[in-house]
Amino acid sequence: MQFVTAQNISLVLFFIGLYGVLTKRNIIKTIVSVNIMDFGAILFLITVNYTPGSIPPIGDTDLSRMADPLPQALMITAIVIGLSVTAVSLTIFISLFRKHGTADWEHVIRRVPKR
Amino acid sequence: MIPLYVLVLLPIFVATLGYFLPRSVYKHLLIAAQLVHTTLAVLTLAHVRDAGRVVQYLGDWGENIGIGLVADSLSMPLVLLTSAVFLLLFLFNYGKRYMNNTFQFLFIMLQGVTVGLFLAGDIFHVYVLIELSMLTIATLIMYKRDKQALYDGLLYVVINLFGMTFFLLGVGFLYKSLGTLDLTAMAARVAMIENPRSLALPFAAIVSAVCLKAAILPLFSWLPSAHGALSAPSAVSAVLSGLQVKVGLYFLVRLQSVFLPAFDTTIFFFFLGLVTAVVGFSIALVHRDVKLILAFSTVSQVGLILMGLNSGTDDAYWGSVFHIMNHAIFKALLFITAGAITHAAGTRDITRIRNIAPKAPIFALASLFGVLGITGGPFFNGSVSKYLIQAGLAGQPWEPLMYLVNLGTTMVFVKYLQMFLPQRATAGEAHEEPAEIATHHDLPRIPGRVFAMNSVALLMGALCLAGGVFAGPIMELLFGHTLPISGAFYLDKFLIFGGTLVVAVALYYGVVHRLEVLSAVREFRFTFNGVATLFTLFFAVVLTYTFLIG
Repeated sequence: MQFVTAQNISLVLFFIGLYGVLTKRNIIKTIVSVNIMDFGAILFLITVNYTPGSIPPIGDTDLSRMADPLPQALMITAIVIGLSVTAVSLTIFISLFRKHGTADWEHVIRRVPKR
Repeated sequence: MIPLYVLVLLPIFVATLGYFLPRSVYKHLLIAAQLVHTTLAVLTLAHVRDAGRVVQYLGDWGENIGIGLVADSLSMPLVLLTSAVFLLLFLFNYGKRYMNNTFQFLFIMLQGVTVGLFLAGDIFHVYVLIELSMLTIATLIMYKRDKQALYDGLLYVVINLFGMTFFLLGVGFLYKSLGTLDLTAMAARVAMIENPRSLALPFAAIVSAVCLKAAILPLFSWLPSAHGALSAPSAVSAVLSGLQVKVGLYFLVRLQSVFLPAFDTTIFFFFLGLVTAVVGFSIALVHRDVKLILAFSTVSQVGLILMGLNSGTDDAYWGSVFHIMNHAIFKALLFITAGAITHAAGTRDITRIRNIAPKAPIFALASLFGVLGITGGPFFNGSVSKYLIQAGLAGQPWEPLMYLVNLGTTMVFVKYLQMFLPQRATAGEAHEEPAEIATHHDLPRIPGRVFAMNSVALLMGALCLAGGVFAGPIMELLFGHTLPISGAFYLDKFLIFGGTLVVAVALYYGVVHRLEVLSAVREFRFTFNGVATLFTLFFAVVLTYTFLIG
């Protein structure tokens, strides 16, 4: 039984990211941690149904040896989505930083006017 | 029968293609597209009602491989609702200053995405659409760009991205164990799984993310800042509270039915709904900001709907679906009238808005209709759906709890209605601070602005009343469910409503109004880490629970 498999690594990555989200107060670190979680989930999906020795599903390949194309097709979409959401959150962060001058969730909360 | 993808793509295509047209042309083009959209939704609903469930796979792929769109008796009424509410809100916005091409584009995109979410039959498709709707909403709530908005937007984006990573991981586990992402095929395969416990992890991961969207008890802390965002135009708040929260509820119900052969979580979610309802109205009672009161009242109504959906009887189930539609209408109405009323009063503090009826008579009337709808006033739509939920619970030991939830809702709106009270003698300071909302007073008005706002508000008020008076035919038409109303129904309703109202007024002005400790709750805010921790805890609880009952 091998322990260092892509699947186990993906789960470890997911929980490292989760640790970062739960404990870090810095907004940049939060965004990076969420991204690590996202990549963990993506890596996990790519390894699903993978059998050693299979070949990439590109062009006219031998169907019996081809890897399952579905997770790979889906994960391209997921990577693009992850990228764009990260870009948007970083953009909002930059404006936030310019306005409040801090990258700390708790400092930002204190500077946002109470209602 | 038109292809279902037209319903999703029509708004998106028209909005994209016309983006560079002049503003006024673009606006009318979009209104025309929305009218066509609503007509198509009605036709599809009629077809589904006659011919039953329709499933279409995109791109000529076979079953279980292509992306499936599903139109059935649950999804089609919600699609029609989405189409109608977006049309009304777009018309309400007709003459607003912020209606530039970008705003219109995003708003109509959100319509297409929401329709797509209701029709989606494939769980990865749901993931993509939720992320897309999240980006659109984040831009919309920051639309007027003030200081608070950036924080609201960032919190919304990051917490949702965080939740969606759990969703994606859950999708991976599901694909690993079931070999399909299609919800229908999944339901068939779940029944064949020998050890249901192996599905506990994907179920918990996906359901936690969906509950985050639906703002169920520990996960609602992002909702008030997003829905009550100062900078969000009131039409956006209306869409968020009226429809986006329902997307979460809809998928929760869908997922529960898919996983029913493995675990029966109805009791768990029934009580979660109950707690959500109670906590929601308690917090709404504490707040003073008009938009926040409405936002927390949404949390409480979500709880009520969740209770009905999980009470296990047909009446309560369809009552809740009807309540989803009713809530979308009266909450949208309340948000848009609240926007106009706070604008007229120059403040959002409920304790300082007084004597609103002469200042904005039409909005005051419409918002009174909305309040009667949400509190279940006789002849209004809320009364019928709440009655059905209650009838579904009849005979169960927790039936009396429904009265508690009703009482809470009524209390919140007794508080809300204080804006109709006459001016207090000591309220001399009421106009010292004409808040930042009323800044554009002197700029030239776009013609048709006031007319559009008034007529949409009145129309929605009329819909609240019609939904109650014609509840029988409407339910028959939309869901094919016959309404079990006895002759004594309306008399009963009058007495219960009157009693609840009296108790609510007494309790609010006698007790709640005077509590000083409440301001501590009002000031309290979760930090991001707090929200994320609550999410993880919720995930752990759902996981443990499903593992134990599996």
